[in-house]
Amino acid sequence: MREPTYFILAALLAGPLHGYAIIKHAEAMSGGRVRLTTGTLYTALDRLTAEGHIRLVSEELVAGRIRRSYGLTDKGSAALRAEAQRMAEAARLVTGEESVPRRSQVGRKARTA
Amino acid sequence: MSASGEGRFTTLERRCRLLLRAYPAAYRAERGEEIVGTLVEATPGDRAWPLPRDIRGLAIGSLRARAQLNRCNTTAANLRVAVFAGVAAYLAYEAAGILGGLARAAEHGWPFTWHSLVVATLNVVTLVLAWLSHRRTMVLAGALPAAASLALVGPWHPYEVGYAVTYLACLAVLIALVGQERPDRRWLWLIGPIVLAELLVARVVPGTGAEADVIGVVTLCLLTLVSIAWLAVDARLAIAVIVFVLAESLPLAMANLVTGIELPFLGICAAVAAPAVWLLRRQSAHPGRPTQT
Repeated sequence: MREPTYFILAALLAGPLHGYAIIKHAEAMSGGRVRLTTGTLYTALDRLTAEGHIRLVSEELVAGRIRRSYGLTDKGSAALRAEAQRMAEAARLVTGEESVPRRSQVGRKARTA
Repeated sequence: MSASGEGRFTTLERRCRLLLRAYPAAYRAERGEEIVGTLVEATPGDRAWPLPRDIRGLAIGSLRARAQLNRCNTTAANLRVAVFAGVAAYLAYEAAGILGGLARAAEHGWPFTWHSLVVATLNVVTLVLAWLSHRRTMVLAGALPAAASLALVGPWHPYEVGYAVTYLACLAVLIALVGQERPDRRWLWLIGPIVLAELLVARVVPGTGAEADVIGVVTLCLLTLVSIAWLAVDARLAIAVIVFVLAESLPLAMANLVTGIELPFLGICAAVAAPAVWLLRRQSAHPGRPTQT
């Protein structure tokens, strides 16, 4: 999962958001690293909707324009948590105590290969 | 909101809508208002244009949205659209050539044959009917110029035989494709420059030969460059241009069959067509791959 996708899904964890709110949440959650452009955001929203990771939750009319809010689906939530778990395990390889046996497992596999 | 603020907002919104025109019309109808709203919100208050990074993002997003259009159709369906467009471009090009030549002949008082005018007009009618999916009337309108070409053009020269064979082949392809997938209006821009260049050659350029060749070659080179640049987004354009070039070159190839001077050129076309079809296959929908909207 690419970083912008991860932060779009993460932004929706707390509840449904509309496009601009997703951009701001993703930027804040990533410490300013992920600055989504409008074009990138809607390309990602199209893809995530097609994949069933997010869904349209509500539509409202604001200043004469339609504003849609999107929410996480169960599939999207599961994919996000799986990605977070994967990244946490990858991080522990470098920073945590649990990294030692995993490294030795990798080493054992390499030796037996 | 102050009057000046309202004015800025309106200008910004208008410019956002202008940028949004890069997206396909169907996509704009579905998402346009929403994207404009987000763009306006994301643009700082003192700006009359969206941020450069947002403009860049819209350009990339529009290309992706256009690339997604093909994924709704199978490879065969996309191929049919490309071949239809290429054949239609060739028939329009032939009709424009005849009509331009007739206009020039009339202007200079040169002799010309009336059946050419009939053939060119029926060519145009055939194309319009094909585009409108009227197969039966199209077959009738197409058969007449075909018969005229076969019966009235003479004495028979290898180039004319090649021309008649190409014309009949194009007609057969159109008949086979009518009623199936049809190129939409966007494809008319491909026919437009080809027809314009041909009319320009016949009507404006004084003399014949080198000047006419330059206009033809420049137009074809420009079309080829555009189609290559567009390959990653939509390979159908490149295939349509290849079909047009093949149809346009076939009479000359048949006339020079003995010397084989055109064969390397036709070989290059075929070599370019192979990767274009491969790309089209990747860009199209597959039974095993879910379609994306």
